[in-house]
Amino acid sequence: MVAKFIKRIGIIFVVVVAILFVFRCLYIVQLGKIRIDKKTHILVCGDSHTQCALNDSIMKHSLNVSNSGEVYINTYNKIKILKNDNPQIDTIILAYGFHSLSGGTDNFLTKEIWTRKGFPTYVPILDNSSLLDVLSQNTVGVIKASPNIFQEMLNSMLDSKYSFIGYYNNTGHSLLNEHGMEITLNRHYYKEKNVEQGFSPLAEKYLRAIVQYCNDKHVKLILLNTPITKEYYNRIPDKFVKHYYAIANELKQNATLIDMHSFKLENKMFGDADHVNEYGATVFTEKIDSLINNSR
Amino acid sequence: MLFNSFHFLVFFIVVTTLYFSIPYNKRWIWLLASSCYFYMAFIPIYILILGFTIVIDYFAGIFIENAEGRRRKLFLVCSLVANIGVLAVFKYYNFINLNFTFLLHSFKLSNPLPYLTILLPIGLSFHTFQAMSYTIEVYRGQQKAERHFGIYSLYVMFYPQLVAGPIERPQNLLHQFREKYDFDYDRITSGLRLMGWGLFKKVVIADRLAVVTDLVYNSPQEFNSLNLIIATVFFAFQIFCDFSGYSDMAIGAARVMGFTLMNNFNQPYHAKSINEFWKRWHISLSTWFRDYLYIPLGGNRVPIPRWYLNLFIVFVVSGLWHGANWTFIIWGALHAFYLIGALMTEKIRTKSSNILPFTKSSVLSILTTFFLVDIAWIFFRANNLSSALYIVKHIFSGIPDLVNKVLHHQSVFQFIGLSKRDLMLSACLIIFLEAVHFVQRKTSISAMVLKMPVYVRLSIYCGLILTILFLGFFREKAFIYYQF
Repeated sequence: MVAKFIKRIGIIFVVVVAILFVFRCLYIVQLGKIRIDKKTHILVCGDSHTQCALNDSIMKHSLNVSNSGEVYINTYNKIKILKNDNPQIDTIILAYGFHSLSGGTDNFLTKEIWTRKGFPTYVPILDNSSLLDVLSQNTVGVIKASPNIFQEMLNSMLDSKYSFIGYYNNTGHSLLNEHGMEITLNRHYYKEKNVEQGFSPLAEKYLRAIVQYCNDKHVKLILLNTPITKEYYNRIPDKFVKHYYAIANELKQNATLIDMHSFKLENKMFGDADHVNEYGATVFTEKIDSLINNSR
Repeated sequence: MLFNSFHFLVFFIVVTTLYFSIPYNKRWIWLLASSCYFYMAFIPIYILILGFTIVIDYFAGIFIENAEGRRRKLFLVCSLVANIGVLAVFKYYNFINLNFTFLLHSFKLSNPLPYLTILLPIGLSFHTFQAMSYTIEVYRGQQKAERHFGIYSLYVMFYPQLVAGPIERPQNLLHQFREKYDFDYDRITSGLRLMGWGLFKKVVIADRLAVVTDLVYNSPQEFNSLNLIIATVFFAFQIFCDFSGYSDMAIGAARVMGFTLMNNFNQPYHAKSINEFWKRWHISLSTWFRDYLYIPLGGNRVPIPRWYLNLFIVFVVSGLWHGANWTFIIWGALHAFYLIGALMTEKIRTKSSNILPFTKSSVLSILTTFFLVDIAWIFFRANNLSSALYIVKHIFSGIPDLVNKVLHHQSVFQFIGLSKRDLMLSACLIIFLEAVHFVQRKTSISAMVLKMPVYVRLSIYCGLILTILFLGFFREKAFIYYQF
């Protein structure tokens, strides 16, 4: 009787997994149909920093697909999908800030507060090796999020809207304050009070993967450090700044660094200590637009 | 630990597998340990409160059985005072204190009593009532005192029904912990089917409807009559699917291991009267109140005014059982008025139905009962009394304005938390739920499924799993009745 029970549970499990596998295949086919306007050949990718900073309605021929909390493993897979479907893309602007390689970015793959939304958004687009990397970070999290992952895939297929494709998003608010800056610094650079984060091997691995991919596909890659306030910069632990420039230097053959962290903006043009607001974004986008489009 | 969580899935598989793997006489230890773990997954320290009532009632049971005359009553009273005392401190103290302060303020006096900043232990009202039913039954001589402390503890703590019932009677449950349950394929699949159906009701229907009811009921002033009506109707189905979904999962989980728990729901929205509704809704609680409050008060074997008073007391206490808030008291009182009103107008209604035969229609009776129950749900769901009164005042008053807007081709829809597709799906799910209930009135769906060829059955199970996976809301939203 036990054998009969286990056999039938096994059959149900296999059938359900098979249906989900077929469903995922259909989703991947659908991903291959994402088309971007033919005139758009600059893709802005990354986390909230590029999402807030580059207004794609101002910058010519560009599309900002950045998403808040996006880590390089997700950006890498997103770039692959979008570039594959849209060969006209010849330039990618990638968010590369002092925090980008910090161990704090791994929280986006391990802490439930982030994975609850992050996994359904990005797990469907991960290639097998990226999926294994995510599973090695947080197997239980992926399993727990699996219903939401499949629902996200279903909704994307029904509506042809993909939440992994971000957009320029900003407001005119300026909320510069000490408390907010403290929270951000702690999130990016500290494990706990006075204990600094290490570096994330995963973030570095996928940054290099993006560089390699762009190189292979003959896409110009620009690493962009967006403006931050001076007070915020002064409180970033030195090791992150040194590591940042060391890696940028290592990659300089294949990726151009545009370091605008000290770009002069009035305080009222910052949304918070490390993000520009709508007004800052306008000024900053015009500057980047002149640097990129005018140099063509 | 929530039944609709990944944590519970793992817990259930481990507990059930090991339950069948260990000798019969040791299973109670495993079940008790698992139940402790289950309860401690919420707030670990509160197991001490549970431990306190278990110890009190365990000894009270033995003392009551051994004592004679007035001493029996004394021990029963001690046990009841201890149980009600725990409820009073953790559930009602702040409510009573708040109202006391209000009263003193009207005499320009200040209240010297402090407010307690404590969280309500989860499921307190459920396991307290279950414990009380044990000592009362021992006192009445209907149940022998349980001498085995572990088995008695398990009676109170049995994890499937620990935090939200069904509130079991000792005669039904205690002896089951001594019985030997083998691995029975049909029983286990039947339990799993029931758990699957319960999970479907919770995560696919209740939590979907909750998006609308939460949004509208948290700020009713921002919504028009149409949305207040939609949210109120949705809440009726949300609370049914939430609580009956929990009960199905509890009964199913117990059944898998061989235990039989009482049914808690019997298609309550098909009731043709309020009296019938209470025979179909939260049956374990309504029978508890019938047996341990209504009948001891004299039931209906007293003069008519006293009978009505008994009904009123029972329903107000039932409201208070749900929560320390005036909204729950009014909810209970409304049901009492419905029942008393129905009794007072019985003769008139019988006469009028002879003159107007259409009033005998079952559909009309069902709709009228649903309407009355749903109006009462407004008080149950509203965040506070002023919100409830606002909704009652505005739920129908804006209809002429809405009609006017429709006639002028203006939109009357507001965003109420779900997309149009999800709203349509919600309506379809409610219709599906009632269709299932309609079929169940004539035949058992479980029996129907069992008669089907095995591949059809397996396809249905796969379909249920996939539906839950694709349409469920997996935000690990707690069951409504956990708060009681």
